[in-house]
Amino acid sequence: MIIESDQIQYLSPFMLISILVFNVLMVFCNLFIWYALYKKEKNVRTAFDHANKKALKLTEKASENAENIIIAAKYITEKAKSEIEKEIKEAMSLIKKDLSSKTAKELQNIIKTNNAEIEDFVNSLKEKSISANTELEDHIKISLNNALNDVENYKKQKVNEVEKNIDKLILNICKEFLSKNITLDEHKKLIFSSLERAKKEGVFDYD
Amino acid sequence: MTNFKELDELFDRIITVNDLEHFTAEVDQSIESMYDLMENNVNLKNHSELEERFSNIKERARKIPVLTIFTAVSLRHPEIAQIADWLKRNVKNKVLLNVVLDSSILGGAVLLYKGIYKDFSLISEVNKLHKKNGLRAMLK
Repeated sequence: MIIESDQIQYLSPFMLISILVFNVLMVFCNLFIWYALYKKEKNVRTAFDHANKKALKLTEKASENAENIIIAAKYITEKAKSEIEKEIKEAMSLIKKDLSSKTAKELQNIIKTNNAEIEDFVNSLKEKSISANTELEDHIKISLNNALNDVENYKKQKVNEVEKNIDKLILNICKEFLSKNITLDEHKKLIFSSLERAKKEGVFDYD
Repeated sequence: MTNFKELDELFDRIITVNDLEHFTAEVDQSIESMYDLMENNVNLKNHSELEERFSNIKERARKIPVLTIFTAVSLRHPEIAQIADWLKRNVKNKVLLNVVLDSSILGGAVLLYKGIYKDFSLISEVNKLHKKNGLRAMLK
């Protein structure tokens, strides 16, 4: 509620006193609140500072512990590392030894097995090769014999054909020669010779 | 009595089948001529005897056995006469010749007499040699 300046002229003393009291009360209230707040703030600040200090201490301690831990850890790590490395080296050497001996043995076994297998394989291959060779030889022999027989038969057939042709040719030449080279007198002699033979064979004795 | 001696001599001169055919034709013609004369009132005293004689000759001629000779060359009369002479001397009865040309026999003769066949030809000899040994063997 806003009181205008004109209205104040008309305010009663009671009103004035009441306002004054009110204002005083307000001031006290404010002071009390301020004090209460101040005190509370102070308490809080103190607590905060205390907590801060405590936290700082804790942090420092934690940090120290952490450093210690880290150092210890580093130390442990280094130690462990070296030990582990050592262990590993030893283990590796053992493994190497073991492995090398085992490997050597295995290798020997493998070589032995392989050698035996290779030998078997080679032997079987030899046997197969020998049997294959024998079969091939037999096949070649049979084929060769067949081919030779075929050639022989073909040769005989052709030779026969040629001989027949030659015989025919000779026969024709003989005929040609005889037909052209016998004189009339020779023909007469041959005819009388035929008659004589007929007489000897008794052809003219049939009546 | 009519003399038939000339007729018999004529018959003796028949040596081939062709001669016989020719002779028979001549005889037939003579008989025809004889009948012609008789038709023209020409008196032939012995015509019946003559006709009988002709018939007898023809009958005898038909009964003469024939010797067929296949030859490689054509034979003329002198060669045929020589063969006939040979036959007269070597065969008891009269034989007529039937000469046939067959150049495929090359030489010699193929004879056919009273159903008997004899091959004395050169081609036959050549074929025999060819079948037996082969002509090439002979040429070697």
